[in-house]
Amino acid sequence: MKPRQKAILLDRLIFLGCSLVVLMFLFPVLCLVNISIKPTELITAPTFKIFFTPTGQHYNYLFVGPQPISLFLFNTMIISLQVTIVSLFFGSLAAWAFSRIAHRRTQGLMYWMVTTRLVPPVAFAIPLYLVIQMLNMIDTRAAVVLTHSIYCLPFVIWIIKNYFDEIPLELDEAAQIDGCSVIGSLLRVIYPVAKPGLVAAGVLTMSISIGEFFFALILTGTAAKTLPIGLISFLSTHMLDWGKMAAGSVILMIPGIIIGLCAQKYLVSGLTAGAVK
Amino acid sequence: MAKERKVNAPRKPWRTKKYWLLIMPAVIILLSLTVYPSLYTIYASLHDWNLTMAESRRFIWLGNFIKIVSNSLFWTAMKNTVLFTVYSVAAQLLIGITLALGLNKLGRRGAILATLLVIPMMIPEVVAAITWQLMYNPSYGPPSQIARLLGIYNFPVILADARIALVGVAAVDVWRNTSFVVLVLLAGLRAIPAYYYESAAIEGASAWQVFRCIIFPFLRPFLITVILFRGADAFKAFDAIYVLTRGGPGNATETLAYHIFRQGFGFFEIGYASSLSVIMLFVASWLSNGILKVSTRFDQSGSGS
Repeated sequence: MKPRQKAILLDRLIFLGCSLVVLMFLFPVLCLVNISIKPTELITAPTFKIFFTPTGQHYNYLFVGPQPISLFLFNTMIISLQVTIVSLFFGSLAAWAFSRIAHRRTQGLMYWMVTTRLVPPVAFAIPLYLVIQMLNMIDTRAAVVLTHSIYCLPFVIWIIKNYFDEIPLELDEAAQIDGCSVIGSLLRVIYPVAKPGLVAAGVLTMSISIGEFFFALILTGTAAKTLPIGLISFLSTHMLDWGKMAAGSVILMIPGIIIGLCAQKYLVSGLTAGAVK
Repeated sequence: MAKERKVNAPRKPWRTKKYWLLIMPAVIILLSLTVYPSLYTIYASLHDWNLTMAESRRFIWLGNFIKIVSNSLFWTAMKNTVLFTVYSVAAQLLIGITLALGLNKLGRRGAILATLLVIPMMIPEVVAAITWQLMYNPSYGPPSQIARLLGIYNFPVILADARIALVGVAAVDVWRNTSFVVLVLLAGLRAIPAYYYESAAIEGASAWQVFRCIIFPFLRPFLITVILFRGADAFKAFDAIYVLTRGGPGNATETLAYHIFRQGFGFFEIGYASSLSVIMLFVASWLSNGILKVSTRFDQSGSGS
C-alpha cells in the first residue's frame, strides 16, 4: 500500500477508535436519559426496548407529586453559588498573596493545604458535626456552605496560585508605579489577566459543590436538604422506581454539563497553568 | 555602578505586610476550621468514646491505636484503599494517554470529541454512582437487558461478587475522571512545537522513539499533575462506595474513608473513628510531603529539557 493510503487508513482507524471510546463513555449518560423518559412498564421489562413513546411522567412526579424536589434543587443551587463565591473571594486573595510572598514563609501553609486535600472529609466530619451542633446550625444551608467552603478552599487556592505564578511580578510593579495601591493593582490589573484561572476555579468549585454529598448527608435534615441527598432517599423508598431516580439524576446533571460545555477552554487552561512552562 | 539584577534571580517581594493582610481571612478560616477539628480529633482518638454512651467516655491513651493495628478489618480497608487508588489511577492513565494521543492526531475532529468527553467529568459523583448502580443492576440495567436481548442470560452481577466488586466501584471513578486526564494531556500535547515532529521525521525516528524522546518528556509535568490530583481523589473516595455497595459485599469494598464513616456515624464509636482519622492524616501528610518534593523538583528541571 502506498504510504499516503496507509496514512489515510490509519487516520480513519484512529477516528473510528476514538469515536467508539467516546461513545462508550457517553453510553451510561444516554442510558440514564433513556430511562428517565421511558414509561415504568418498559423499564421493568426483561429486555431492552429501543423504540417507545417517551413520557414525562417521571419528571412530572418529581415536581408535582407527593415529594416535590423543588426545595432540594433550590437548596443545592443556592449552596453551590455561595460556596463558589466564598471560595473564590477568599481563595483568590490568599492565592495572590501566596504567589507573591517568598516561598519559604508560606511553605508550611502550602504543605497543610495539600494534606487537607488528601484527607477525606470524613476525617474532619466528627468535630465539625459537633461544632455545628453546638452553634445550633444543624439543618441550615449556612452550615453546609461553611463546611463545604473549607473543603474547596485549598483546591481553589492551589489552582489560582498556579495561575498567578504565571503572571510576572513586573505587572504588579508597573501597576503600582502608575499609582495603584497594592489592593488596587490586584483589582484593576491582576484580576482581569487572571480571569481564565478564576473562571476555571469557579467552574470546578461550582460543579463539585452541586454534587456535594457528604457534608449535606451529616448536617442536614429536612429544611436544608440538597438534591443529591433527596435522590439517595429515593433509592431506598422507591426501590424499584428507576424512572424517578433517573429523572432526578438528569436534573442534577444538567447544570454541571451546561457549565462544563460553556467553560471548557477555561477549564483546561486553569488546570494546566501550573504545568506549562 | 547600577545595581544589576539577573533576570531569573528570585525576587524579593515588597510590602510583605500588606500581602499577609490579604491572606489572613482565608488562612484564619481555613486554619480554624481544619486545625481545630484536627486537634479535636486527636483529642478524641485518645478516648474510648461512644456517642450514644457519652458518660462512659474514658481516657485510654493509645488503646484505640493498638486496637486498630490488631484489627484485621483495618488492614483490609487499607489494602482496599491502595488497590482502589492503583486500579483507578492506572486505568485513567492508560485510557487517558491513549485517547489523548489519538485525539491529538485528529485535529479539529479530536477537539469536538474532547468536548463531548467533558460531559462525564461534570457529572456530580453521586449521579455517576447512581448511573452505574443502574448499569450494574441485573434486572433493569441496560447492559443486562441488552445481553438478554442477544441471548446471554447470565451477565455477571459485578457488585455482588466480592472478588471484582472493588474493580466495579473503581470503574465509576475511572469513567468519571478519565476525561480530566484526556483534557490535560491533550493540552500538553498541543503545546509541543511542530518542528520537533518534523526533525524526528527527517531523522527517521520510529513512532515509539517519537513517544519516548519527544512526547513523554513534554508530558511529564502534566502526567505528574494528573497523577497527583487523581490519586488524591481516589485515596479518599467515598460517595461511590456509599451509593453502590456500602462497603460490601462483606468488606470487599470498604476503603479507609468508608471505614471511618461506618465506625463514626454508623456505630458512633467516635474515639475509634477519630484514631482512624489520625492515622489517615499521618499517611496523608507523609504523602503530601513526598508530593511537594516531587512537584518542586520537576518544576525546577522544567519541561523543555
